[in-house]
Amino acid sequence: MFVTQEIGSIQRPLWRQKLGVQLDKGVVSSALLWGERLGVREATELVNKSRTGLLQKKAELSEPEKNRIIEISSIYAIRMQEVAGLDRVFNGEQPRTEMYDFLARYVKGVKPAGVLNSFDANYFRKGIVESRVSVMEEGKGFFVEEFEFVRKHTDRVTKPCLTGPYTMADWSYLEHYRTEQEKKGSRGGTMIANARKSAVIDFATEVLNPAVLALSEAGAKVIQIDEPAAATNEGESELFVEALNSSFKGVPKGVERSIHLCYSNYASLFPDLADCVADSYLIEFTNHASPTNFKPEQVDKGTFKALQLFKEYGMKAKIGVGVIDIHSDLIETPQVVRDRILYAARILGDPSLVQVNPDCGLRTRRWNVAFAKLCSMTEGAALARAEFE
Amino acid sequence: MTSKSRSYEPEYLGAVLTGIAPRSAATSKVHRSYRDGNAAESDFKEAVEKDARELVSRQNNFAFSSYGQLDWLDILRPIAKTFKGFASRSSSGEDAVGPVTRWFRTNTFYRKPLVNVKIACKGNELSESVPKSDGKGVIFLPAPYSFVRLVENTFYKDEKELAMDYSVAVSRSLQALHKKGYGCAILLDHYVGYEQSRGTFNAPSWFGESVSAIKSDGMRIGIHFPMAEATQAVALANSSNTDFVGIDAVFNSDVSINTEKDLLLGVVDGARVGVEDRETVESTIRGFISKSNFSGRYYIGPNDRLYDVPFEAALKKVDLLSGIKGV
Repeated sequence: MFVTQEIGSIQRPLWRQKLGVQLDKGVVSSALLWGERLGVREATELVNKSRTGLLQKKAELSEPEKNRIIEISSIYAIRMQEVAGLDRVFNGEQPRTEMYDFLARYVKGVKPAGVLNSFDANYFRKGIVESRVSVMEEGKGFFVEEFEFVRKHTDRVTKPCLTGPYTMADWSYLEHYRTEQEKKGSRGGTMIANARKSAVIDFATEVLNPAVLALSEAGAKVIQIDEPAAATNEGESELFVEALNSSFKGVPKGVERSIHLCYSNYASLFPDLADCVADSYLIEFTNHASPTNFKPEQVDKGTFKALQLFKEYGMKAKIGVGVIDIHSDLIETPQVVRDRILYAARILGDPSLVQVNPDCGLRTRRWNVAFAKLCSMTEGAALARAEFE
Repeated sequence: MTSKSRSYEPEYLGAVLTGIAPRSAATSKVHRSYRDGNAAESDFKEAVEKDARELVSRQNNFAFSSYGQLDWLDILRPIAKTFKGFASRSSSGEDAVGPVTRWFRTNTFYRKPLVNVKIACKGNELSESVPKSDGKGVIFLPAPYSFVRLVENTFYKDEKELAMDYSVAVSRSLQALHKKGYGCAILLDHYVGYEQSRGTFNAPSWFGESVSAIKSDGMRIGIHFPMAEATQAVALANSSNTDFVGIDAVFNSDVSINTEKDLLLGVVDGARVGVEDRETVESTIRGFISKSNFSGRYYIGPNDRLYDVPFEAALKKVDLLSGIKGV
């Protein structure tokens, strides 16, 4: 009951952020301190007394050394989640650039178009679709290799994640698909809608589905598809669900098909969402609510309504409740986490349907804050479990 | 509605942007470095100013020029940060004033301002948030209706009062902006099109009054409706005293407009990275002005902010607009 998990992304450790920029003594010692705190044996490959560590090198790092840096930062992220007590872990997306860009790099037909602002000083690289999309073989190889690396380094459940077809299409410039529609004489809003539909379906069948199948063949027992764009275009929920079902087509029984939706009007996805084959939905529940004092009225009305709709439509999917605000440094108390979990369980009418996670990836927070939040989350989940013992 | 016959020659007033612009890849890199403590604030400001100079220099044959409001973290941030009326909820991030919230159907976000006391301003707050212009500067601000929808309000019981107080504050700010060389303000009403597409738009009775409350001697005031169904949007604008009304001529096709105001035709797609060919754009302009009854005077511009295309693509779109001399 109340399985705990991160959503996916964790900030790069300070020592990796500053690598090649400002690697002073304080930063180097942070690698050792976190290594000791989390029990990362590989920390000595970064810094050691004989001064042969990767962070101590004066010369530029070779490609194999750079790759090892990525592996070690993945191990740090895995250990952070393990020490915090999570049931399901991944690599904090350490080998990835950003949730759109990392996948776009492995999609035939997509070229980088340029950098756009997301919010504050956060930016993302947006792609342009110049021909029909399909996943590259090396892309499937990357996802499987990443999964196998995590599995090798943890005894917890390994939960790989991939950005979903709807979001990939929504965040791309769909030049190819729009031009195809224009050739057919389609114009204005109709042209845009038809182009979006073709692109979303192609991303589902030609990119996500082969990648998901490769992961399940490699042994993944939970596969998460991230769809932050899910509810940004009301009126496309049928297309959204069709795309998800196509993405999961052929996944064997026993593999949990998980969807992460964030910062969206989930209620707008109903009733179509009831036709989705997913086994779990991870959603935000906390966004800027008080970290020390839970009140039901703090819960976003749309999220509250969505939970009711999951129940109303008789969906037996698990709901991953976001109990941690990823946009604030304030640490939620375990008691508030517990209360949020119990409140969601009451709305759903069945505590066994509740999973526990932050609202979204903790990439927005520094390591000490992210770690403290995850610790509080698992403590809160334990308190919630105790209510049923 | 009176209208001019199609026998006269329409008068082209020039191009104008319709929202904040993107920063270059180089500036985004400096911005991230500044956030991570690896660059100084002055480095970021310098990079922004360089982008702004480039953007302004490309706006030839523009009726009004914009520096893209490149130093604004979002279109509401300077308002929420400097006007009275807004809470600063504990949050992390640059100038954080509220929760990170998706900007309509994009992968960009804004900080949702939290209105917790009566909105007011001295009048010089916004003018201090922008550089000096040459008399032909344009400023982009949320229209009152969209403002009401974009903020979280715990103070006002009545939406009209919120809209009117915002409009009065903006109006007061325009006087200082005019003194600083701004000759035009474009009020952006994204929420109309957004709600139309969801089937939830109900025009409030105070729509026209709140827009009309925004005025400034010597400045042209326009209202622009990205992604909105144009005939309803123009009818809304007609209930106000703005000088011109902007429609999304990419999203709308085959519609005729009825207004006595000047038109702003959003003919360049702000959501598409590819640059339109000039003939297609001119054909779109011809189509709209031949079908529409309006003052006979028109501007052209993007259908929405160029913030959703990379800087280089935005510059190319500005070049395209600069090259059009009317049809």
